[in-house]
Amino acid sequence: MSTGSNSKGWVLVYAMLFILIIQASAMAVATLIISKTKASSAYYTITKEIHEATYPGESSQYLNMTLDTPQGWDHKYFLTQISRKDMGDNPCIRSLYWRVKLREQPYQTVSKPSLSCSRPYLIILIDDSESMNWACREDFDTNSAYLKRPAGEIIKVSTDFEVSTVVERTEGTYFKGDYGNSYFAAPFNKYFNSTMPRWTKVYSGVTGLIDEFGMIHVAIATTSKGIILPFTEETEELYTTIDNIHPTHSSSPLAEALFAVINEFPDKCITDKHILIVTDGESICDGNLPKDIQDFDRDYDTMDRYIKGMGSKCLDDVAAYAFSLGIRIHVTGPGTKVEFLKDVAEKGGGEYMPGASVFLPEDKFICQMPVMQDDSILFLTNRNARFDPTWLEYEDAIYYDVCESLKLCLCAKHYIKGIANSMYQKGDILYCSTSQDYIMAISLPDKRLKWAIKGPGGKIVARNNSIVVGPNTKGDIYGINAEPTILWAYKGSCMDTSESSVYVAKGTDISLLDISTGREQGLFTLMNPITTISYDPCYGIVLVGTASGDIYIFSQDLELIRMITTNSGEGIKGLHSFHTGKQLYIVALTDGFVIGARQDSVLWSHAVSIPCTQAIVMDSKVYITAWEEEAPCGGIDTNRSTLTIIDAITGEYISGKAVLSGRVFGPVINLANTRIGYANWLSQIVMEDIASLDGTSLCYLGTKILH
Amino acid sequence: MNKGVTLIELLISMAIASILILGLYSINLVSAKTSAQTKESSFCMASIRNSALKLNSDLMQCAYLMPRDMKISIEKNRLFIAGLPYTSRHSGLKLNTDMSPPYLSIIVKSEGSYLGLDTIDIDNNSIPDFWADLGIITDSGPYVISHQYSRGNPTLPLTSKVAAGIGERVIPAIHYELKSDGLYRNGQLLAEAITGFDAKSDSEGLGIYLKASLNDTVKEIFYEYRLQ
Repeated sequence: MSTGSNSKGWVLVYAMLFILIIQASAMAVATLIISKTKASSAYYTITKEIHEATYPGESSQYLNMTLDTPQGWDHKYFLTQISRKDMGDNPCIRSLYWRVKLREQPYQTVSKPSLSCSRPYLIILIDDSESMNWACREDFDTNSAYLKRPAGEIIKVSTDFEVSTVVERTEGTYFKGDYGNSYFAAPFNKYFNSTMPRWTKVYSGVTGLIDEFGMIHVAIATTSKGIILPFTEETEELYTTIDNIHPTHSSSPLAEALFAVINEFPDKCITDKHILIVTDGESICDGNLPKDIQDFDRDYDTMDRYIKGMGSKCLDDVAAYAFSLGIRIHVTGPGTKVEFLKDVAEKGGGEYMPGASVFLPEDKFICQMPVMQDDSILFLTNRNARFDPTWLEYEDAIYYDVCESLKLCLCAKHYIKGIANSMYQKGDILYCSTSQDYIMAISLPDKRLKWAIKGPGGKIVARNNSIVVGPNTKGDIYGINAEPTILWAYKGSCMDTSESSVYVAKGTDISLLDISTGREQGLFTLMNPITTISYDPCYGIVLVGTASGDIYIFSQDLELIRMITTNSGEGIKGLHSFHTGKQLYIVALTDGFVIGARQDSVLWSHAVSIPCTQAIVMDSKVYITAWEEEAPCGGIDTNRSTLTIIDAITGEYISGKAVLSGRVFGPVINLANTRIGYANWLSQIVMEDIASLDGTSLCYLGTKILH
Repeated sequence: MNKGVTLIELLISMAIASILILGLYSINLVSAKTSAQTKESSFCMASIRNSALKLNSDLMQCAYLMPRDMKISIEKNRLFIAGLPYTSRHSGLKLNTDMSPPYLSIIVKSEGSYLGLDTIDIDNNSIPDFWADLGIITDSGPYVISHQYSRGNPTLPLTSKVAAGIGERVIPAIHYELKSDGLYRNGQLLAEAITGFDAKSDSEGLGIYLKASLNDTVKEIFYEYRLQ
């Protein structure tokens, strides 16, 4: 059989077989490469998505938004800032992060601070003899209004009282100054032929002085009765006592009265002793003193003896004697004996017609947390017992007084009285109130006082267009707008506000007021007096603490939700709320306990040996500052403050340390630097690092693929 | 010139042809076997890849807007990843501008294999966030919602008895479970070739072991996932 083939045919067969094998091998390798490439591509995509989603890059869209308080943080002071980062188009990968944001600083009202190094005491000795009703060197001010009281003395009344000539009221007869010059002329003596009584002049002088007092203990004595008001810091008591003095006595034993009150100063806790004699210098039936006192100054004046009737001149001797005991004697008053009165003041080491600054402590100190403005720290410094920071410009400031019907009357530029004891910053405006009931609006960028109103004082809260301030020393709470205009006033002992409502406690009652109008919208009466009230802006609830140690939780419409009994037996003085796992937690402070509670029960309670001054909850930890003034002569400059950190949920102690000398104010929170700062009376600041707290830096909330 | 082949030529040709035919046959056999092995291997790899892709996707979105301390829960053959699967009826949790995260439910009732929750809409967007066959993670451990659960009911029937107490936190979770016929995700078969599944978590992250096998083909993978 022949195929006709030859050797070339075999070569072709071999060649084809070889090509076939090569092709098969190539296809197998290609398939393998494609398969691996697909798998690699899939894994690459996954990996890319994961890594680009979880680590913030530079080519993504960021969006920030603000939500309510994060869990574990104090509802009153903190918010949540969400950062959203979107990457890619379809699918888009969205990652969320959060960090804590400041809602408001933990402002605190500090009432009646004192300095152990500066405790001046003053006795105002008032001559209440009938000669004080005699004429002085001046006539009545023709444009002013005066009141002749039933007892006969005449006093000047406030500038806004309007009377054309004369009007009778239950408190006495009001008359205009020019009318008084004709019909209410004081009995004049041989020296003066004027119309205004001496009492009218000294009354205005003394009440004007008291008006500027702060951080000074004052007692009032009269020449007829001796001490009639023991030492007090309550200016209202001083006014009331002076109002009840009637210059009707026939005798005026000035030297004897001064000698008697010298020993009325306390033995301890006193740094400066002053006596201010308010008199015309006419001694009547005076000089019945020990022999060595009658002419203590050894001027051998023949009138340095007891004289029945007018004439004794032992007052300068007693003043010199008092000065030898470390007591400075000052004199104020008109009359015929001005030169003698000046001599009395000189021998007594004091001043004639002294200003308030003579009595007040010169020390510079603060009793509020500092203000962080841009990169600078501003201290609300007090000097001469009044708010007087050196950085503040007073030019162009407008001063108001609260007149009748809550109208604001313009008044002349004057010193802001009282020390800065409360503050609230809203944007670039710092609202600050003083212990003597002033509220001020300070523009922080240019450090300029915009306006000051005399009358409203106490705690300040600014919401929307309203400022709520109070209670002041008279127990009045005011609603003010930014113009400023007084919108309403209400009596109460403590208050807090939501964005639209004000919650005012008075005794056992809580009132719900409209923040714009002050209109009462609700009332709830508890069993025990209310000691603290706090609105929780995160949960929209009102927390109320009572003197018996109970905590009440109300809705924002004042419906009672729950009551928690702490069994501390002490008044609640501070309430702080936070949440975690949807559960509301409350930290309560009393003088002797720190208490952690949930809505349904008390979780833990710690007895504290030193009273807590402030607490704040951050990342489920309570930062508590505690301080106790040194006994018996305490002041914000005594002892040391401590900072204790405890777990807010379990009550477990975490850490504690001494912070600064004296009482500390704060914390002032600076989340940008992850620090909180405390300041003491000397404006020393200590900063605490809070960077370890969850939420002070950007925290991951998760990633989502948007399909 | 000869017109035919000699016997020797014929025999040699037949021998060569036989060798070629045998060679081609054996090539065919090898090819068929290789093809089958490749298919099995590919099937195993596909199972692993599908599982890994889903796991990665779920882990990437793990605990989105939920408590970060409840990200993962591991039981024997079961892995619970906090989160919600993307479905036609649910596109996952949404950030609610009235509520700051984390979002969660609280147990208000616990009886037998039933859990009562304070809410089934944890992000408060009017869409229930729990449904049948979904997993849940509680403070005391993970559970699976029963297939009988009707969506919208605040009481969840579970596939096992509940040890979680009142007040504990609850969040929805995607759960992976290895059964005899493969790896299941939320009660649905995800990869039938998966015969081994294990997860271990530590402070560094999550380690996942996947094993796929078919006939004699076995494929394994172990990788670590770093959880934030």
